[in-house]
Amino acid sequence: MSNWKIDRRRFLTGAGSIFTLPLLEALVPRSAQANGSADPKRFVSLYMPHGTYNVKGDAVWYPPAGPLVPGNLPPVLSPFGANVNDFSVLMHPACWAASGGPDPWWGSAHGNALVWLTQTRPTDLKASHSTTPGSSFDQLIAQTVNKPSLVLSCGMKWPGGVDIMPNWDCGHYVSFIADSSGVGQPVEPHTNPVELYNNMFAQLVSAPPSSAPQRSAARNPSILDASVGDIRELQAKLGHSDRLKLDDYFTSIRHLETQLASVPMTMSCASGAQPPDASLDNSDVSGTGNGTSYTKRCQAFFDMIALGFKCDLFRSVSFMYDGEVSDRQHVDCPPSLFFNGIDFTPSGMHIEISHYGDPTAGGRNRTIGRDRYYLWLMFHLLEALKQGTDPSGSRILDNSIVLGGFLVNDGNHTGQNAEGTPMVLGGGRNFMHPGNSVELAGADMADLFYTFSKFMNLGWSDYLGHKTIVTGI
Amino acid sequence: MPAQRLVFASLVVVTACTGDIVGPALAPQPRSASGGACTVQSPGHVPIHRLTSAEYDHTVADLLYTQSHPASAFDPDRIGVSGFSNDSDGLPVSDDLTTAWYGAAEQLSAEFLASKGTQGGAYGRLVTCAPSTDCAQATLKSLASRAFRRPVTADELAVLMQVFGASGDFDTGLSDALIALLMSPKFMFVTVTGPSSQDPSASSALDDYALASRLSYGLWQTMPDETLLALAEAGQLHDPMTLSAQVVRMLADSGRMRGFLETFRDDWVGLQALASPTASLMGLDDSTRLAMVGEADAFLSDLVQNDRSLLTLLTARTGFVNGAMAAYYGVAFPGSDPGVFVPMALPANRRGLVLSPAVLTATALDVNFTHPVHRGKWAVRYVLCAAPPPAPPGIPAINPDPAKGGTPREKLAQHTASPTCNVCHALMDTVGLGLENYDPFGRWRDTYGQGGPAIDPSGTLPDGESFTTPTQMYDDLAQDAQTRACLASGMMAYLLTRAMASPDDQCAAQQLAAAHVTPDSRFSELVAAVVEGPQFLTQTGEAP
Repeated sequence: MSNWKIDRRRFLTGAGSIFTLPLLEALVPRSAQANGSADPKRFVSLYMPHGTYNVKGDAVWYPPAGPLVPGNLPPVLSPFGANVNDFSVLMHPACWAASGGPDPWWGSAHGNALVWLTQTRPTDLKASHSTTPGSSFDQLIAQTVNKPSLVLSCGMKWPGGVDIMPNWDCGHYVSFIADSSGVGQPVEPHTNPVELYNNMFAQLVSAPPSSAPQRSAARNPSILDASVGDIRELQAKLGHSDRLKLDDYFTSIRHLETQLASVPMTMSCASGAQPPDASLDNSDVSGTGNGTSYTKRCQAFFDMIALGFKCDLFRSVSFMYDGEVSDRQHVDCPPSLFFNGIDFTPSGMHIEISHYGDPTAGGRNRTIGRDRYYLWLMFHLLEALKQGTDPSGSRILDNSIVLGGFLVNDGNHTGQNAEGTPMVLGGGRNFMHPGNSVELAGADMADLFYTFSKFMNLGWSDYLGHKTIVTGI
Repeated sequence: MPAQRLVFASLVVVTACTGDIVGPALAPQPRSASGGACTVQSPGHVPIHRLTSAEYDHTVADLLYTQSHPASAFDPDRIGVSGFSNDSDGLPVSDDLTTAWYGAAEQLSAEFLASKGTQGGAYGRLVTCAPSTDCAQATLKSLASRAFRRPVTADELAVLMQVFGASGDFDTGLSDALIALLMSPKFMFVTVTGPSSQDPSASSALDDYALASRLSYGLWQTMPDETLLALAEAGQLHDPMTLSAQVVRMLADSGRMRGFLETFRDDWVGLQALASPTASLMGLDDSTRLAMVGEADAFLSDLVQNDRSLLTLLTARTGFVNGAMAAYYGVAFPGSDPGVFVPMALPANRRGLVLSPAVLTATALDVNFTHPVHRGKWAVRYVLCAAPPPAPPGIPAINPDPAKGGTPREKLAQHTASPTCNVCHALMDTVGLGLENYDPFGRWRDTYGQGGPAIDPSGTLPDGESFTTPTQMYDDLAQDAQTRACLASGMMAYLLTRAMASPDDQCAAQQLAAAHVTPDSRFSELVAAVVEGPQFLTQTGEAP
């Protein structure tokens, strides 16, 4: 693809104008086809900045290659059997930009954050900025589709300029825009959900009209009561396993009733959207801690990603999780995600998780629990993307690529022992094949991004010179 | 080849590897087995069957005359143990799916109301009386009987009338009752209940209505039509002559058979990725990709419509090309309209559908290099019904690039060297390497790249039969009793919507194959034999 360069000021101005324009539903394309081929395609990056645990002989991330089987998932994925239709696991990807080769040791946390979306090796990790040539993948998409990229950070950079990695100045940036000389300028991420909502979404959201039609089964409960009665009648005549299947249906009918009672039908892309709780304004964070509202902040950001996609405000997003520094904590993490019952959520666990400590002292368990927590948050986003539909009627998730993962394959800096850096690829059912464990066998991330560009119909002839299609995803 | 040589006896010792061979592995049989040595003791149990997405769309089209495809918003149906996406055991119910069903039901009821006053609309076709309670009752009685695929009972009708009456408005009431019908498990699930439903030691015959549904969803992926329901009402469908005639009638309906062909193409042949309208990758331009799929469609359609043997999947010397595929093969297009598929004698290095560019591309896994293990695994699963277990964890992937570290044959030699690997890989690798003359897009090649190493496809199948070309390999496989039983088993699995895992199932498959999967047999005979068999006509109960 041809190199593009855009002045940062011009970008920010453009982004602002889009954010303040009222959304006109008439602008939503009407010609979309039923299979979703004319729907907008999107990309979300969820970067997990520090390392994971996935060592040789104990690849806790990797299921057997082939279709994901709910009852046969490895430790990190085992709580997510119900989600297997929504994601694939990518095994053994390579990142030549970070490693200079297919070496499984991909380098340091601060350096790799820069490489994640740029797929270009930084030239100076100590400079305050401008160390990365070119623009990041999310920004290249933004330029191509003429919509801004949404850049979010939920942990690596706090308000007030506090940098949790002060000695590695670029560690909190993943999104870059090339300036006129081709040098990547870091894009400051949004860190405050309340502020973002007020700036971007509040004016799009109006109260649902009082005349909004009510869902039929909410107005007339006997509709679903009839289903429940039929379930019970059939169950009395069936054998055990058949009855269990109808039990599932019964449970889901009850879930549906709850949904219908709480969600009014809305007609506008943003109507009915709820602002984040006012307390999610980062007032609970200080120093290098991530506060008590980290979980809810992440979820608020994810809900806004879904809303922005629904309104087609942007088509690329980069999001960064928190880092494994000593003051971080993970309040609100469900204990069911703990592995072997080991609580990883208190602060003061940098060594125990980022370096996964001494495995015999539970570091492995804590890292698995932390990774489950990251995925649990990711699935919140996938669920949010399921709720919206595109003009064709296809679910937004089915037109979205959600890539979550690491570049540091071994937080304990003993990379020779790593089985490779796992990635989770969500959504995209209209053009990908979620639900599989995919052996990439060293396919380069740059090729993966080129493949994404094809999925998104961006019209690029190559990505940074890469033209190889990654198959099987 | 010795006629009585045991076929692929090595398959039965795979348990020594890392797990059992999964799927309907068939016991080794003598080549040319008569199939008459075993007896089917129990017909087995077909689990309650949730409608697949395709079945849902087809059913609501027939029930409500809609042209919309609401199931496009449903979670995709995954291929089950049976090898098909209609496997009843592989069709779960989730919160997401139920929510999507409800959305579809509301959409369809809104369409129903919107059609009021339009000529030929659903409302006018379903509501044929002036609004009144009696009219609602008559309308719902007819609609529910079609939706439930059997006469609705008085109690069921009373519940629907209660739903209807809640709004106090005729049209709203009908709309509500329609949503209730579409959300009923009696609509969403194909269910067989009877005197032995809860007795695992007993079997009983399906009633005529259940038989009509099993037949209709098996062949047409939709609810029974008026003819089938009328025969069921008259109690005539069980009559063998009637049943046989219905099979012939249904197979001849090319429009309604399309779903069967597409499912067979996507699931068995594995072309889902190639055939998807949104596919845009694979390194193929869309016209070539779709031409490949079109060739497969034409082949399968010819197989059914012209009543050929199922064995032609492996043996046919005639294929179908349009202009694009003729160019792909490098031959002159034999027809006049390059957009139309016409029959053509296949090049000498092709056979049936299994050596078509579509299958070879879909099973190559990659667009840059072939992966012999993957191609071999497909053939072993779908042609021999002997799917190996998943690879044990921690096995490093083999670099498929012949320029790095040797040819695939050289790299796969490590499997042969390891008894642990070899027990699972012997057959997969042999078959996969036998297909190496086809590049990732199914084009013939003699070497790995220009001036690269020569390709050696030769191998020896576990029965001792050697081959030197891929066509010879498939010719040999096509003669094998296990292959033929596997094809029969696949047809049974699809029509019964369950895996063929029991000894009784294997026995039935062997008997069917001996009689109806031969070079001279007919597809309709095979289908009729399945439909008239005990597994289709009867059902074993299940403990409550």
